[in-house]
Amino acid sequence: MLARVASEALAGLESHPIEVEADVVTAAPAFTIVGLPDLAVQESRERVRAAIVNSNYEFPSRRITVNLAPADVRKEGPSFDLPIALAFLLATGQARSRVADVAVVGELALDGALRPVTGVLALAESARRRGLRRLLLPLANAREAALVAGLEVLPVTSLREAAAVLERGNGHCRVSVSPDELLHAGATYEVDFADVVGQEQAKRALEVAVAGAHNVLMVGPPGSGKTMLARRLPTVMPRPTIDEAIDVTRIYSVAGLLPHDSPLVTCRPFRAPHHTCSSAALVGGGPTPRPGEVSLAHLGVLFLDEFPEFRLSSLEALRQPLEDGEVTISRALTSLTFPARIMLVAAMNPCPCGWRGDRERECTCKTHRIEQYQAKLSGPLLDRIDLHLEVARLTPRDQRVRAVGESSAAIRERVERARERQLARLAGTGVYANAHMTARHLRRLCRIHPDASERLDRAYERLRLTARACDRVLKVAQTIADLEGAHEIRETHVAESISYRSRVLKPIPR
Amino acid sequence: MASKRRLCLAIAEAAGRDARAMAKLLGEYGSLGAALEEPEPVVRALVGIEPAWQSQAEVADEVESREGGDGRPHSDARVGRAVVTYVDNDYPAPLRELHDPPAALFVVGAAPRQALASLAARPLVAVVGARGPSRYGLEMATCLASALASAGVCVVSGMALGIDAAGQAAAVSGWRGDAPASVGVLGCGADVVYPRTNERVFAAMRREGLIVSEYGWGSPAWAWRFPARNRIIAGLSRAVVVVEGSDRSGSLTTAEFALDLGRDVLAVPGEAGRRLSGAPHRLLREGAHLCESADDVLSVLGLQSARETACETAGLGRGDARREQALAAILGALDREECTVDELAAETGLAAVEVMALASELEIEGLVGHAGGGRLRRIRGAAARRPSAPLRPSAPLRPSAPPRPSGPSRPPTSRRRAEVQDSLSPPANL
Repeated sequence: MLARVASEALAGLESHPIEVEADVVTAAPAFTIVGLPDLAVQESRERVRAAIVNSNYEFPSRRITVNLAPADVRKEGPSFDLPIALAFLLATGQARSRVADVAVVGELALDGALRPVTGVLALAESARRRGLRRLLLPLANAREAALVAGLEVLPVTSLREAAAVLERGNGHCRVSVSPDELLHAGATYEVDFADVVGQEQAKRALEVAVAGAHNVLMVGPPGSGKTMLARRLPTVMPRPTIDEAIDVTRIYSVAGLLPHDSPLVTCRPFRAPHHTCSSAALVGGGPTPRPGEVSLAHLGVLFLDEFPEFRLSSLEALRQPLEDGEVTISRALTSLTFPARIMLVAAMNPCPCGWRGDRERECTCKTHRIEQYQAKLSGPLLDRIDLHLEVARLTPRDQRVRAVGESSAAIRERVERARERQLARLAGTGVYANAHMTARHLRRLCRIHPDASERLDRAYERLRLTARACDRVLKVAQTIADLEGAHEIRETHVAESISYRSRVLKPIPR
Repeated sequence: MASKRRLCLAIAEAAGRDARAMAKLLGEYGSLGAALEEPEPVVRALVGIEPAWQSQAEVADEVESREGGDGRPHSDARVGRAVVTYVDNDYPAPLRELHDPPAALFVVGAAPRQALASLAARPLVAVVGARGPSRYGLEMATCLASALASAGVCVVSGMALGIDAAGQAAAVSGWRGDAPASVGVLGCGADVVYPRTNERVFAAMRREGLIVSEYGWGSPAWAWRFPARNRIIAGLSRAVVVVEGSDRSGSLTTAEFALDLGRDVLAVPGEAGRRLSGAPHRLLREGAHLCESADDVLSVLGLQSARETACETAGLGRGDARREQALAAILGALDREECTVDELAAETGLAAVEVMALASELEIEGLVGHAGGGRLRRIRGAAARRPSAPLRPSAPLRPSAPPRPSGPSRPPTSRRRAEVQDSLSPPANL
């Protein structure tokens, strides 16, 4: 007898519709799974066999063939356990189904209990797109799947329960989740800019950076608070919209990093990979491509401390995501795209020993060591970093001052207003923030006061800026103008912007 | 005459191999001049050069006289090399005052013989210091050298990393007359680039300056040769300025040679207690002149000051009294010490944003620089106002970086000097 169960297969962040077919015939006993299964799917045979027997069903000595169609799509992971087991029960007549429009996913334990699977949001969205109205899945995944509107979630805890739900045609509990409510209730951060004592210049620079989505490089000795400042950046970024939160959740779900207490990621991500991390871990990849740190930081902050200590290959691999806002991983058979719209915040010491320019401690580095250290940052990478910021160490006396700084919420207000202005100006260009403006956008869309452009010419001449550096200065000046609500770039905006240009890192002459 | 010249080359060869050869010679005859009066074979035997053996320097010299100038082909046609011996008229007269003058000088530069001779008419000042200087040191060296060059002084130094190279690079870009803009004295062959990272400074010095060594062509850099060449730096110069250095710095030997020769010694003060303040402060304690700007050097030499005093913030305020006041407050605070933007804001009562904007204007005007560690500093020294001639044609906002000519040999055009400046832009003010 033949039975069919609908399921879903994950590939990157996308999911493909799958039919699980089971055929049981009287022949020499065997249990085979066909249709490009990977190792975890092959092993599913053993789990399914044990789960069926331990759930007090019968496992007949007949020839069982399971086909995962379409046969040319690679199937990975243990989420096919439940559909295979149910198809088997239907094929052997041990269960009956009254529902046709149901998709099934879930991993089985040997005793017939269900375990959660990853990537449920993507699976549920795909099921809804192909017209299925119900999703049978492990209880632990229920709230996440319920984020998809128009999909009835049937949560179950064991194989027997799953068979019963199929037979009854409805679940025994309703799960409903409102993404809007979650979003409004959530978004609490443990840190706040009000905690930062002093560092007015750094705070201002970071506000400008966030307002225009500019990438930042912070240079400062150990203990100057680079990490502390970076950690607080997500708190002043514009609140994520529903779509943005769903996008982030989808990535976290596939990576298996979703928090236990909430089905929706409501905070902007902050990722700080260690500098020994490989380029595959940074931008994504692996035998079955998984999202890397840049994708996990999508719509949030990617913080790279000890920037020059990262492997050269990793740093160079960052260039595409910084440029395009996404990562494409190409394999012989497929090519996958992960979103990676990040704000890069890099931090480094001014020299290998870390104390160059410090007031109290003297740097002991040789000139050529400093050059080697700084030369690790390639020009093309530095070109994508608009703001350079030197962070000084506070003296103990400064730290004792207990002045409370401005709260993150107040800063975020200004940032959100500045972003709105940018969106209005950049409407129709496909660009959402000043940092991504091209030279053409700069010329067409930015209004510059004559005094400001005179100031820029003078800086170009006196400070020996390159044409590229001038463009960066102008982009940042536009963001400063947006923060102020000015409708054109004025002289003071340019002057402030010039103070954020690269000074520590000078190109090493060759 | 020719035989004396040959003998000079032989002595130079021997002294370049082993410093004791010269000591032996001086012990025997008292001075180089006296030794040259002795019969050639006797002197040759004394310093250990076989009479029949033609020294490498002599061969090179013969090739030079045969081909009239450059012995070997050089990538830049204008750059030549020459060997000047103690008995030649072109030999720099001040060097004859040394107890152990170099018997021969190997010179590389544009028209090297004439260039060496032209030095007699110009004041020469050595600017020497640490190989691993602080930003402040680099800035002082750069300011001093460029102001001295624009006042007509020829800057002498050792072409080492740090202060030496920064000073010479600034001198080359500050000098507007005929070569040489600066003189570099090496502890290896004048045609050897050491340290290799200074390649760009060497290239500029070959074109615009003069590279001098007492060691034969191709001599490698040996440690003992570097302190030895310091006596030539001191000997050539009328004054020595020590910018930064630890209390074991080689610039102290240069200063000692200078004192022995009766030259003036100046020292640029550093911050008390810093390792790099060791050498200048020791010199100051022992009676060296204080050097805060190029004016101090010029007044020691009895030369006219080149600096015109101008009200520094004039014109920056643009008639706005509050703005003018704010600028003056910032400059005042920076006159006392280096400050971060936050400290300036606290000091002046302005917002950090305002301070950033005003400070970059002061930076554009060349009054304020960047000190590292996020601090701003007042630019003192000399040319606070750098020559206002634009370094590049001021074309605002070109869509792409201006194309830079490249290739092994460039035609000598009027842009050449600008390019040299570009490649040697003083690091401190960027």
